[in-house]
Amino acid sequence: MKKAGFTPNPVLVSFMGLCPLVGVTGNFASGVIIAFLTALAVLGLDIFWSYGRRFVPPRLALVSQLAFAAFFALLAGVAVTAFSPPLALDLGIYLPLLMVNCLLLHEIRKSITGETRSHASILVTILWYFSIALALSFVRESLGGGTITLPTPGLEPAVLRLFSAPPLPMLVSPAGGFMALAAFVFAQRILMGPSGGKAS
Amino acid sequence: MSWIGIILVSVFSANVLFTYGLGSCAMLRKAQSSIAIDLLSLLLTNFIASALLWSFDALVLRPFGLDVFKVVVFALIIAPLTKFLSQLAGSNSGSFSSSLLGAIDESTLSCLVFGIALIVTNKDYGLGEALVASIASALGYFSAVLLLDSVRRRMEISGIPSTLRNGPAILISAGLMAMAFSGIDRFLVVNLVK
Repeated sequence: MKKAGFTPNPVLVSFMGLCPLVGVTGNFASGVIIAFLTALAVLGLDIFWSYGRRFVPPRLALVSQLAFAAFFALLAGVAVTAFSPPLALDLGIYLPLLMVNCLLLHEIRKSITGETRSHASILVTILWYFSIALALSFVRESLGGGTITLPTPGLEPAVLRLFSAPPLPMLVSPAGGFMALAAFVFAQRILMGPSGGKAS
Repeated sequence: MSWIGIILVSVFSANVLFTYGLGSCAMLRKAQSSIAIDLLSLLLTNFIASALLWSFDALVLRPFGLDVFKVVVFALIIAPLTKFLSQLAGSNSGSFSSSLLGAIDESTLSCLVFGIALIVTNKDYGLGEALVASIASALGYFSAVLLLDSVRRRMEISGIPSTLRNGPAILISAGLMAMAFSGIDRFLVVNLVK
């Protein structure tokens, strides 16, 4: 079992859960919501399976965990639509895609092969994921759009204007998502060495 | 939209990797199996998953106003059925049958297969158009990954700094390609092949 302190960064080192980060972090509110829901899904699955494994036969492990992930994605979609319809529209296919997020599938595959991780290690993983998504959304929307959209309820999310003209408009596009991620991975390698802390 | 228009839009201006970021995680890993196996498993699983999700959506979910349950239907019915049908089709593929079955097993439950099925189902396509869009999207993704893989091979023999190798360099290349692909305007394509 790994110590929580050595859990590698899931985004910048293991390259997991990148689809929503490229797709929706051009908007700060969408980035915060998708990161929060992904973190909640992984945590929920960990809690569900740590208790559920006693009652579910091993051959139904995959199905039961997938069913949990699917119902979570369904409830998340309904909740986000009720919270803020424009944000739900912006998140689009990424809400149902929560079910097949690489982070979640990685945990499911690990539990099926019998590899166990401590709750602390999973908590560190989702904290990493959430903080990277938060930073990425902030950088992309503030520099790409000159604004910060806040995840507020209702038909019109609150928007803070930071710059009168966006300094790097390309950052809000998917191409900008790849570029911003590259900058984050590069910064991580500069700070932690070329392996990005993988060897530890 | 004509079928040629659907193909051009799905491959270029709405490429699933460069527009939606689907399959980005797989893009950053080195290919495990051969090109033929990867392509065949991708086409097979996408074709079957899209056909099944479109049929369920049109025949069961939409008529009863149950669109919101698409994700549950995919997890509990379509993913296992796709895996079963793909493996059934793949088991007759001769010498590389076992590798193909392994690749199908990996790809059935991925954001790429579910994402493409969702995208083609959410558009108002008929079954034929949805299947063409699904195959074209899979081909678009595959060609994008193939291009990035050749970039990776060139970078391995060039002397780029270790901090940029693989991850950052591939992401920058993907960003540049995404810009190039997004330059092919959707409306221009539609008007050209109308």
